Amino acid sequence: MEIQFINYLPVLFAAGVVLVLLAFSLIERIMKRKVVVKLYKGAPFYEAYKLLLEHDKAVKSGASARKLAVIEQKSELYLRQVVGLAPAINQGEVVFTSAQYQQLTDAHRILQKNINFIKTDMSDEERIIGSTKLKFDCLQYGERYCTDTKAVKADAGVNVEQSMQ
Amino acid sequence: MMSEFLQYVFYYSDFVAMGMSLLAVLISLNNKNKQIFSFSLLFLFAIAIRHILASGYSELPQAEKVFLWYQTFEYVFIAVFVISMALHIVLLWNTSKAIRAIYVLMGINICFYAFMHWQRNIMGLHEPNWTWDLYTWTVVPVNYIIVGILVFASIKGVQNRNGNSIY
Repeated sequence: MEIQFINYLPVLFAAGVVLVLLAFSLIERIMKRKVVVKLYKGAPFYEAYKLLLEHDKAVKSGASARKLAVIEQKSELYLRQVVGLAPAINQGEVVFTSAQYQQLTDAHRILQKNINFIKTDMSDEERIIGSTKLKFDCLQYGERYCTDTKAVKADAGVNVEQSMQ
Repeated sequence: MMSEFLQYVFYYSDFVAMGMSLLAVLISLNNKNKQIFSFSLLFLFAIAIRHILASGYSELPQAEKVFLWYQTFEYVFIAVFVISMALHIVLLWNTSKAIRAIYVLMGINICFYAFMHWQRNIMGLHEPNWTWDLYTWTVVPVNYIIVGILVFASIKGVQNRNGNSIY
């Protein structure tokens, strides 16, 4: 019986799938990066994501110290922008713009995910210590920022330094 | 050639596989395991489509029946693989260990298919094909391993830092 080309079509398909399987992690990484770029172009954390990616790439490829310094300067500029977005306190009331609200919502989501992580992934002992620390942090944060707005205005610089540590 | 009895067994064992993947669908829905839910749903559909088409083929002559059975299997499973991969990429899901293992098993299935098809082209369409036995005895256990992994992974409800399932 004569073997026609069409008989080999399923074999070619199979070979294609096997190639895709072998290259799967590479394809997934490239495509996911494209999807992220498309989806999060307008999102508040996109700039940070891009900077992180750039930094990662530079470190992995062993870029020069000068190049790294340029990237770090860029991220510093970005961080200054973000600090500029902090909420204004007007007569004891916290005033948000919509961009600030969006950022705080994102921050809250990240915090929630970390809490979930503490609940599920850690060992019992670590989990107890971690969640206790988190509770103390929340209490301190509440005492500093949510009760006396005048005090916050007075030691704003000090508080920022402490929270950075 | 495979005995009639074994053909019946494999034909009706589709129901067992479908039942098990339905179990995986329900448990993973309960545990909010998106990856396993989508994959086991796709796998369930694949087996159902293959079963329905196979019952349609049952009145055809043996050679064509076997040929179409192979074809259906390959295209349906390649489609499940491609759709699942596309879902993981577009929805930015983490490809968990279980799904990766299943992809490799599907790749093994497809390799056996390719080998069988190559043999068949050399032997001719209407030769009694010993590869039917080889193919069935390799692919059916692999399918059951896949369903087993799905059920096992759907029972595990552990999530990582990003809220994706670990399994």
